[in-house]
Amino acid sequence: MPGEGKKDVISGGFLVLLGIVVALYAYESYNIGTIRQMGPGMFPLMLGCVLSGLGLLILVPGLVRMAGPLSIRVEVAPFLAVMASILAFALMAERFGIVLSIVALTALSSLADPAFKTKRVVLLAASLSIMSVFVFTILLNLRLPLFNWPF
Amino acid sequence: MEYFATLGANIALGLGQALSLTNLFYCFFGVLMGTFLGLIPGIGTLVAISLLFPITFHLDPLPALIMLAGIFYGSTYGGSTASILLNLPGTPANAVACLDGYPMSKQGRAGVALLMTTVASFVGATVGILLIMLFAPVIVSYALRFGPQEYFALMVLGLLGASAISEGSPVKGIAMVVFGIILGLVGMDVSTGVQRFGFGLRELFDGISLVALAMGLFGVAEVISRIRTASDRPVDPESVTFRSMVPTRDDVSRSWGPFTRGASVGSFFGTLPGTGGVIAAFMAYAIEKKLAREPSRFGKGAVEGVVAPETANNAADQTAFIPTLTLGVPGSPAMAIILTILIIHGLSPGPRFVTNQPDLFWGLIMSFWIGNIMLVILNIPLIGLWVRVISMPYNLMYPAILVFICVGVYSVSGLVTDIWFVAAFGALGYSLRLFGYSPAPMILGFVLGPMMEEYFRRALLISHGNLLTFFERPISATFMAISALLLTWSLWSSLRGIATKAPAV
Repeated sequence: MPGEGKKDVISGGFLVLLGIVVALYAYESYNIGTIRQMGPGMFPLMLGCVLSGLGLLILVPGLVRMAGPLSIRVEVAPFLAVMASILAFALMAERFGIVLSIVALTALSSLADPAFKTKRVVLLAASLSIMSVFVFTILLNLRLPLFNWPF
Repeated sequence: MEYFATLGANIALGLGQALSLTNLFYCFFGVLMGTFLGLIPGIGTLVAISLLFPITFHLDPLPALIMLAGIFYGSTYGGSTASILLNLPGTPANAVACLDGYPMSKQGRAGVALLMTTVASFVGATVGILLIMLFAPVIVSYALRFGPQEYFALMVLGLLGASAISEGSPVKGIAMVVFGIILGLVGMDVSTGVQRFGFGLRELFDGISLVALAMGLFGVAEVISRIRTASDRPVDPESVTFRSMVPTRDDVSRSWGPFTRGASVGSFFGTLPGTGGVIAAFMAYAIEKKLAREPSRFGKGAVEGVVAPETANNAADQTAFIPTLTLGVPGSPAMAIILTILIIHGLSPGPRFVTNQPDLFWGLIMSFWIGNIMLVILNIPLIGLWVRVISMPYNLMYPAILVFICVGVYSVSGLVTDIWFVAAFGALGYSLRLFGYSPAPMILGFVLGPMMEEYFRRALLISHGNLLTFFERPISATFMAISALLLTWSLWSSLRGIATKAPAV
């Protein structure tokens, strides 16, 4: 597959960096101790090194297969819609309660749906709110903020 | 003889627990949810367990275990329905069933396929449960002699096994495991009391939330990948009537062999930490095809081709509980989540769990019987219901999935930061897929990481810093040797895979 090598170089490189960062951070911040009496930093240090090593094992063979264009099929619209919907929920959950948050979540995530129909989304949001309230608050007896209005 | 007397007593004890109204309800709920969620392509066993995991926080340990276990083994019952009717596996372990199951449904034999897979699943599960009942106590007596070296070595073996069979190259799988372990170390280090990788955030004191990690990495990432591809494929399964389910005598006589072989293969792979239903199903199919008198029938609707893998994956589902419960070493990410329940309730998993909490252990095992019987009832007479469920379009389902993920995660901790984590891990999980990594081993590493460090530390403390201690003790040396073999194989096959692809332009 063309361009596979490029992908591996990128991801392998990322892992190498991550491993180095973890190892260095552990070395600087925590007591390493001895092999006999391991401090909190020893295991992370070792793991960071192992991760970097693995990253190299992924990166280096990738350099051999660099031929071809870098092709990654990113589903941009679904990604943005789903992320936006979850972030909206996170921002709204405490200030507005979960009912409104669910509506926002449903509405925003539905934006990625190629067959978007407003009426259906509204119905879906409504039924999901009712179901969630039923399951989590009534059935499971949890106390979640249902509905606030901060203004 | 005394062995059977004890076994009998334990069975009675277990039934007493399992037949209580609460436990029956949660057993039913678990298998129902498992079938339902397993049925839907795109929601696998792991996502199903993660979605309902928050509920278990508010339950006692036994009903929680029973419910999650029900989801676990129930999901492969439902998953085969999707394989047969839609040519899309409901869970990864059902992928093989598409090969002959879908052709069968195209030939108008969907009903027979569905019936035979349910029967096969039940047979596989029965064998698996019997094995647990007969051998778990034996394994426990050996395991009580395990020291930290053995546990560490076994965990290494399990992790390497899981990465070897994950999608993508094995080296990438191992990298995911290590990444997962590092994430697992975030938070309080129990032995030294030091807060690690917390960056001062109060919310990270107890570490990263497993629920947020699993839901984000699997649930969210899966939704992102599927939204557009799922809409391209409108769902229109062949309709199934009850009468059409009756198999011919030929079907039945051809199935005995696959039942036996599938159950054996499945039980074997289920017990090994790191391998499970997926590998079992593939191996069972391959073996069946190899041994068949007319291998050309496979792929065109051979009943053996559905029966063997389905028997295998259900046997594996049950026997997967053996290492999890007797040794405390989960063999797969889903098992890791189930194990976490024990930890949350303050019960430490391992051989002592079986001896100290026999009511929980045997109650759970007996619930497996009850659950599987419920599943047969759910999957045969109620098949019409599931056919209708399968026809539900994805664009209605995925917002529901997201809602359940967000509300579920929030309900566990009440912290909004966990929802941020879900988003972050969703992005991470999606990126991993794009670059050819499988996120499953990460979860296993995440759960096992802190435990591994603990055993590693203790082993070195006891041996006065002698790293060879893992190789000097016979049992742990065996585990390490197998691990070394797996590691070599992983590295070699990764590099070889690259070598064969390299010249292509």
